[in-house]
Amino acid sequence: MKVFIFPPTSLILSDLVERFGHEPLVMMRVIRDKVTDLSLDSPPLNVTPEDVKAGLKYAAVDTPPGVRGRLALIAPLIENADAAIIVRNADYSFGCVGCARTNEYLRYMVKRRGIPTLEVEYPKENEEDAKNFVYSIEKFLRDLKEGKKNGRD
Amino acid sequence: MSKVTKMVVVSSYAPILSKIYKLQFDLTIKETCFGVLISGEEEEMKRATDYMRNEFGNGVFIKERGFPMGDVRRCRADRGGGARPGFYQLEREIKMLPLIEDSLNNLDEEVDYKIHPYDQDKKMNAIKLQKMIEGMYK
Amino acid sequence: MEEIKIALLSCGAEYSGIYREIETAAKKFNAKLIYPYVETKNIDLAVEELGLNVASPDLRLMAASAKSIVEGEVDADAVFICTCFRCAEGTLMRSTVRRYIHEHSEIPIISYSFTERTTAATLYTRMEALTTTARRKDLLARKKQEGITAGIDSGSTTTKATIMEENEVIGRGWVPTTDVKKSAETAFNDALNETGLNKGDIEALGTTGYGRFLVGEEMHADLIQEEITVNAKGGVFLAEKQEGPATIIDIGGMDNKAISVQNGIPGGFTMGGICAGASGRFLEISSRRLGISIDELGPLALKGDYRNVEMNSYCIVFGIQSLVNALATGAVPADVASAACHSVAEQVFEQQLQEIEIKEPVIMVGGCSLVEGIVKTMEDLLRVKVIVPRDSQYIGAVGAALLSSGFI
Repeated sequence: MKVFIFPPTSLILSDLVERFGHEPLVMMRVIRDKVTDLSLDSPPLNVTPEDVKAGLKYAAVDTPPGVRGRLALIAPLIENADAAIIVRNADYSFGCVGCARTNEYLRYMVKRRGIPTLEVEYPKENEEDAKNFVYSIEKFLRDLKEGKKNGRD
Repeated sequence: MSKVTKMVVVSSYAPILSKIYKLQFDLTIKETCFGVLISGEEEEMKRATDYMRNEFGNGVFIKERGFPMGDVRRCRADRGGGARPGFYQLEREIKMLPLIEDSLNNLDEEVDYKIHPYDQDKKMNAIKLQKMIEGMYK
Repeated sequence: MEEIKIALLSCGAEYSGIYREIETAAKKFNAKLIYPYVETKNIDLAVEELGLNVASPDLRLMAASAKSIVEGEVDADAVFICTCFRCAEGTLMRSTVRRYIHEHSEIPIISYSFTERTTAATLYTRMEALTTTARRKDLLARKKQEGITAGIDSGSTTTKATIMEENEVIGRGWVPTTDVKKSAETAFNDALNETGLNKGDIEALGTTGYGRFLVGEEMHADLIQEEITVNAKGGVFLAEKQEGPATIIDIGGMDNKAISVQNGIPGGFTMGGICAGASGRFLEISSRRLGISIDELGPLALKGDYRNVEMNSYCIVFGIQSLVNALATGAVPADVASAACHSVAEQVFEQQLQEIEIKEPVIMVGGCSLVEGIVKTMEDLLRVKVIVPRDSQYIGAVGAALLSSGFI
């Protein structure tokens, strides 16, 4: 299944989703398509004002351009997702996930889609937290594979 | 088939570079402070990442990278010293990897592990608080 | 022109489709955008030090970048801070960061809020001023005019010229801008006529304003310089406030500028050029509607009370409509004149003056400084005494003549 992860740039989430047999929907793929598109010249990410206008699909014109530009890149991942894993305390997410307002809205979009969703928190520096984090994700992804409707416990 | 770049991060020391060199994958490989960057056609990349997952198990973590290797737009030297935005999160996550690796290693053994739900209300129960206050004046 | 390094502190430029515009504007003035080195562990510490605990990670990183700049860990000559237009969190952090850098270093800064429609052209004057401040400290150090020099300010509405000799303005020319080159020549000749000197007597010439390049090339100027740098110098020179801090407010015919100055060198500045309602044009149209000349508007406004006229908008169309409606329903002309002045001054106050540090003395220059109603309203809004120096309307021409004497 296609799993949206938040942060969509996360190494750990991307790896775990793939490791447990699903396809992570990640920002890196979006960026790769953008930056290797030779027809565009809007460095460094090739996000153009047209992308920002495309963001109007998700938020009104009086939303700041940085929010709409980010939504235009990330929201399609949510639209294509069958499930989602969200890290709530991703405080060191910069760049495409560097805007708190955009991130709040992305979480809302996931909720609105009603897809199976797991919300977790990055482990603090202890074993118990890490276990809970990994085991929750493993169980969620296993349930998805086994066709259980709701990924939650 | 298009060319992709992946980031392979090792949670603790693993002789990753020498092994993939030995197997002569048709890839561009660059050693970095956290592991290696590999780049090549998707099929060959899959062969290489499958091999690494098999060989190094829970000790390697793999993700895609958007920019090609050495792209000047993301090069620290060209940016005047500042890291690309994704670096800080990566650095944070790399610190967690040993614990994540241990958890993955324990996963099969701890079949009865009870997962603690994250959406648990962490606020103190009002009755408990009341009893605490009453206790103070005893 | 040596390359200078501008630290870009932004939270959304790359995602708003305008990064290339910023880069293009910087490159035009041989500047390179750089990103300060920041250690992950310092991000939260920097936020703590600046004191504004925002949620957006990119804004937190901006705080850390600012700390890195003031601590000299990055080789930056100037700073460009920009955040998205209409983002409350971004705006608050932008001014916090700007204030922090301003208070802890002497690096010139500009701050800007962008939309996806921001183009390189809109940033040119800002970038030119920023790079000049960083690059030409020797030029800006000049405090005294020497020899016989001239300055021409080719503005969008009027063209001004001055002749200066041994630190005194001895000739003045002021004409409406029609054909840019011809207007410049007329103003220049008018100024010369007042002095009895000939063109050949002028030892150096400086040009500024919208038409500075065209006029400068035509008249072989020694100095062609944007109006932020020139007006900062001219303002403190005319007001005799060359030492210490000062704030220059210049409401011109089509735009407005506010410049925060330290020892005659611009530290931070802002330019408004989007809305004609914050310019002299609004006052011109108001005067016309009142059937008076613009010279009469200021004194009339002092006799009125703006609160008696309901203004629905700062807009040059809808705001004027409010004034016309008020006149039609029997409003007193003095109140209408006062409302017109209040509208312009308040918009400049709300939209520009929040972007810079207002430090006394506050010096008002430019054409609108002659309209007493504007000056009075600005004093009321800022709650400080505003200085209007002699020849304040010739600010650009005086600044250009002063700076060009460095080329003799």
